[in-house]
Amino acid sequence: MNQANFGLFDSNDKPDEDEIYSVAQLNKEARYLLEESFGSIWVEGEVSNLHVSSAGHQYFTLKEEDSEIDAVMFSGDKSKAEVSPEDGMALLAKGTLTVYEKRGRYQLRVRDLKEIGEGELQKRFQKLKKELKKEGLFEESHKKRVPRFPDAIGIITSPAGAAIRDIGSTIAERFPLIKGYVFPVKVQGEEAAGEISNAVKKANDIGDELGLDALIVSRGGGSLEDLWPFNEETVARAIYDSRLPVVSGVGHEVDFTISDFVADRRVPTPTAAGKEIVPEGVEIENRVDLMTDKIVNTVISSCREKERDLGRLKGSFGLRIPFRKYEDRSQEFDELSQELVEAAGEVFTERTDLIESLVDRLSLANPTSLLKKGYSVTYDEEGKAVTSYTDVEEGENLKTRLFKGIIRSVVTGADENE
Amino acid sequence: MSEENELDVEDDLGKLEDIVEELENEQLDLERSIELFEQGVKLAEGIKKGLSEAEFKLKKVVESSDLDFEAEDFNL
Repeated sequence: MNQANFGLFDSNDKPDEDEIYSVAQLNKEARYLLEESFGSIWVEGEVSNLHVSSAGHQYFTLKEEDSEIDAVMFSGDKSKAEVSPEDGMALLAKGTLTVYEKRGRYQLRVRDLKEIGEGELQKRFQKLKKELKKEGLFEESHKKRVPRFPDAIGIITSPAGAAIRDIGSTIAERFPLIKGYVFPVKVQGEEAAGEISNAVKKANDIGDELGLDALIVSRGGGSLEDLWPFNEETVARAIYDSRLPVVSGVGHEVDFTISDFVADRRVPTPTAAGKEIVPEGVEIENRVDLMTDKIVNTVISSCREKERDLGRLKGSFGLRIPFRKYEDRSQEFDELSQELVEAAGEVFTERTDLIESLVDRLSLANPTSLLKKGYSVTYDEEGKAVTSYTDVEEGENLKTRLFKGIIRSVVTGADENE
Repeated sequence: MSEENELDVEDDLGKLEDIVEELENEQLDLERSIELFEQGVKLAEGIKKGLSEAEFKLKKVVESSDLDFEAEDFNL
């Protein structure tokens, strides 16, 4: 080993083998030392960063203003504890000081908890919530509708955070037609609340210029302290005063902030904010397909109707269409209808061309078009279509239906040949 | 600022709905039906094409002074 030290160490500095700790050894001894010397102790602090593992162990931080310690309460001890920890709760924790050897992290293994009142932040939160509620800032009647099809939205969040990535990718996937404008702000720390409320005001000021229809205020999950800016009065008032509807998506599902209560719409996460603010493209496509089907089906059935009309025309009016030609046309009609049905199932490309030729071909078969070409139908006094010179008598009044209008006439003569 | 995403989906969906309604509820001659058919299919095609080709554009609003701002491209 010391062949590679390039003389950096004086060989006299080399410690004896038995003086060297392995990492595991050191952690083990530190643990022993802590556990033995402290024994069972009570610690007072405020709960923060609580999370529960899938096995049911509760991990949290016990803290006071400038100092904190990791704590864990295993699921086996949980049932014996007097209270269940919650973020912001001020607690007395009974346990032993120990080292989690795998990480070399020292922590309090909690075996019992007693509540000693709400934490400072929790108290401030409840107080402000109560005041603003009384003042009417959370009123349903003040809440604005978030438009279903916004053209552009403002996103007030950190440009470096997870929230903007979650929102951005959700929108890009669902409804990329929209434009997004990020208003970069700090989302935690002392300056955050001021920056967020200014951004809400700014977005309203320049909203028209950018064409904004709605705003999102958001940040990812964090401790109560991390989310605190969204519990500040200045942010609450800026959201309340916003002319543009505001969607608030702060933290995780379990986190509620004052901004959630004031916002026109509260969603649990940044991703949900992205979903809330835009419709889903797939849904729109489905609706479009459904309507296209309806259009195609209606046109097909009206084609069929015209086909029947054509049949009637042939039978009763005895228009001078050579029978053979009618049969051809009838078959053509079936083919056309079939084409329409098939067209409905196809993708839309080339559809326009198809329709144009359909329009031409279908209009040929339309009885109205036949009249347009100069064919006409003549009715006798009883309203029966005249199909033979033997149907009329001299002096009989006839009515002839043209493409446009009718002609009344009197029979002056009728012969088989011209 | 270029305006590539000119499609107004809300507007076009509304027009499409009107076409369906006219086709379904009114006695139309064939030519009008086909006309509506053509319009409807064009609209539907436009919406679907717009959705599939659109690219989400994200910009960052940067204040250049108290009253002014600039919007610069922002990549996720």
